[in-house]
Amino acid sequence: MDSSQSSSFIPKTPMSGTLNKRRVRKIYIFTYLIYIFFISSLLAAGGTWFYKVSTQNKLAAVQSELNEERKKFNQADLEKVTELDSLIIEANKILTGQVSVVQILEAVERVTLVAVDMRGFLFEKDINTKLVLELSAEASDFNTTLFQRQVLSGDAVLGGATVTGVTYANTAASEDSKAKSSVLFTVEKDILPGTILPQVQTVTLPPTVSSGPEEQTTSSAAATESVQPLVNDNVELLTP
Amino acid sequence: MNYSTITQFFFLIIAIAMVFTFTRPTLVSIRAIQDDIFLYADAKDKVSEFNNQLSNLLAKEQSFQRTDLHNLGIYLPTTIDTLAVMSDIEVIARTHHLVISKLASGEETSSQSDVSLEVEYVEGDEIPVVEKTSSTDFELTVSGDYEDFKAMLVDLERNKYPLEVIKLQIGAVSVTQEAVVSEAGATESTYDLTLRTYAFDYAESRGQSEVVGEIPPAM
Repeated sequence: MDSSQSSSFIPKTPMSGTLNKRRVRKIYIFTYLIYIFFISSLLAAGGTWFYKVSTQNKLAAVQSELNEERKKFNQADLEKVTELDSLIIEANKILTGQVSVVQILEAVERVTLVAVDMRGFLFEKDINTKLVLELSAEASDFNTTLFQRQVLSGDAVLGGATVTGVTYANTAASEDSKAKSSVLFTVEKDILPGTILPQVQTVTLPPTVSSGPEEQTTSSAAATESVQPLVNDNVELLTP
Repeated sequence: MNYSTITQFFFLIIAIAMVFTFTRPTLVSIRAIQDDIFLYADAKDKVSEFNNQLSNLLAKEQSFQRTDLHNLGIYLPTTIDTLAVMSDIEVIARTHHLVISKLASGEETSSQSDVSLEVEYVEGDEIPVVEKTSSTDFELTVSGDYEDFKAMLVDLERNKYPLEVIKLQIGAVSVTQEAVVSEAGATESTYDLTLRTYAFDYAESRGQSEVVGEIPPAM
């Protein structure tokens, strides 16, 4: 057996020498941590660079949108609208700040007793835009004056008026005429602007005049026509 | 110290340098860009909203009838044509058979409006617009029938442009016995009025005076 084996031309090595030793692999945690840290920092740098580019693009897009919106803005349109708005507000202020003298005169006619004579009428707008009404009247006696005051207080327009400056006068009796007594007094009232607005009478024009039912103010003088409905509507529309 | 240790040390240094010299500053700049994006987006939204509001207002302005706007311009013109106003007053008084004994115009007084809109301009040095309301008083003394006078007042109140009665005096104001006696025999009354009309100039303060309204002719 040994001779047959030794006769082989293939050199034989002892079995013990051919056995590989199992290699022990050393794991260095620090090395791995460094590699992970290095790769992470590379990825983070790349990520932040891409994110920066993305945000820059986004900023450019937003800037572009802003420029587009700014191009849409028209200064002339703004001025046109603000001018009209201011005009309407100012017109409305003037219109609503007025007081109808006609209504005051009609109220005076309505409340004046037959036995009372209205001798003077003064209506004035003072510097504080407050309106002062002063009526000078003459009554035959105090009872009439008291009743006149009572009637005045119940009127919608002249209610709240005060009776001041009461003077009693008695003309001496002569041979030809009888003695005549009279009570002179003044009626005063402060009127706030806008509380007694002028009444605008409106009529509906027939179809022959206009294409459809259209409201128009009546006017007897050529230069007269009211624009009250227009102004009030516009203020509602344009004032925020 | 072998080759591997040197490499590891080198990688560590590179990584730390990369974090502190690139990643961190980039993050800071990204934050700044994001703040800018927020600001620009906010500004864009505001401009967009403003434009929408403006276009809505323009649409409303376009919806107004031209005649209404013309009437508004007549009601509150940019300037007061004193002569035309006096002519109108004379026509109105004459229409009601009243005799004018005095008609005089006063000085024009102006006041700054409190309805001016504050407009913040995005660019350019625009002069802020300040509206200016001016008024002129007219002293009128007429005599005639009381009903005719009332009819004249009705027409003044209905006028296309304001002719506000700011003073009206009929008869004696302070009642004394003498005044009562002197007024007693009067058959025709005398009426002292002060009328006021207004103008509103939006463009005056900008040096671009333009007529948007005009006082209409009397007849």
